[in-house]
Amino acid sequence: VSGVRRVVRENGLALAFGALFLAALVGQAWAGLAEFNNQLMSEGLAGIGFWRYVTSSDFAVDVAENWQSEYLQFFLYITATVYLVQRGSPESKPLDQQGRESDREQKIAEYSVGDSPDWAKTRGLRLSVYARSLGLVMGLIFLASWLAQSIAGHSAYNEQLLGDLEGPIGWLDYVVSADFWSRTLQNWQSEFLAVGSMVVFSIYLRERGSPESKPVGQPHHSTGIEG
Amino acid sequence: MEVDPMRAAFVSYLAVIVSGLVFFVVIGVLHR
Repeated sequence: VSGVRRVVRENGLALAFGALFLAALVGQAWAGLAEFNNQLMSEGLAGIGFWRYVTSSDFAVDVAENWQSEYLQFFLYITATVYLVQRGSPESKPLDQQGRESDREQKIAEYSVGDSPDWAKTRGLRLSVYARSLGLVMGLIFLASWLAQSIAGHSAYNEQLLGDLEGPIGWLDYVVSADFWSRTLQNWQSEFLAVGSMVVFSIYLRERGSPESKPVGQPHHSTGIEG
Repeated sequence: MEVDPMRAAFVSYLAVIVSGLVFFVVIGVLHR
């Protein structure tokens, strides 16, 4: 039993956010179904069931549009913070460490240590891929989610057009449509605001014990020092 | 075989994301 407790404690962030994700997704499905059925009833149509809704393109596009913006946010944050700094923010590197840093600082190849990942130990293609793997994976998930949003959104939009007795449009027309860009940009703006405010607020505000914050007594002008 | 919880977390998150993405695309294509 103590082994299980240790595993739970040591993986608290992954477990807590995984559970929150699943609970919020189920909540989104129920609330989304209620709203969808309200709309159907106001049009004099019969409501649909839970399973029918969660396998609808309306639900898929609503989930995918939020996924793409979150992964875009992290992709940009991971890659932009290599080159851009912010004086006073614990989210930034120290002002003199802009860029991809030296092999010694990054523990690459001859500077690797015993437990370094195998792909970090030798130079070549594997190292250049591995040295960008976090940004690459977040960026790929962003692009795949955005593509999924466009495909599901296209279907949902055409269903709406058919309901209004209008003809369907093609995917290429959809990706330049107001519906696609309204869904996309309404998510992007909130992500960029949240990231920007996190960077700037963390200059002057503190959260005792959080690695996202500077220590409470750390001066405002200190850059790149985390809790 | 011993399961590494950190690796399990990594693989689980990746699996949820990839299956979610496949699901969205399949739903989108099926409803076209």
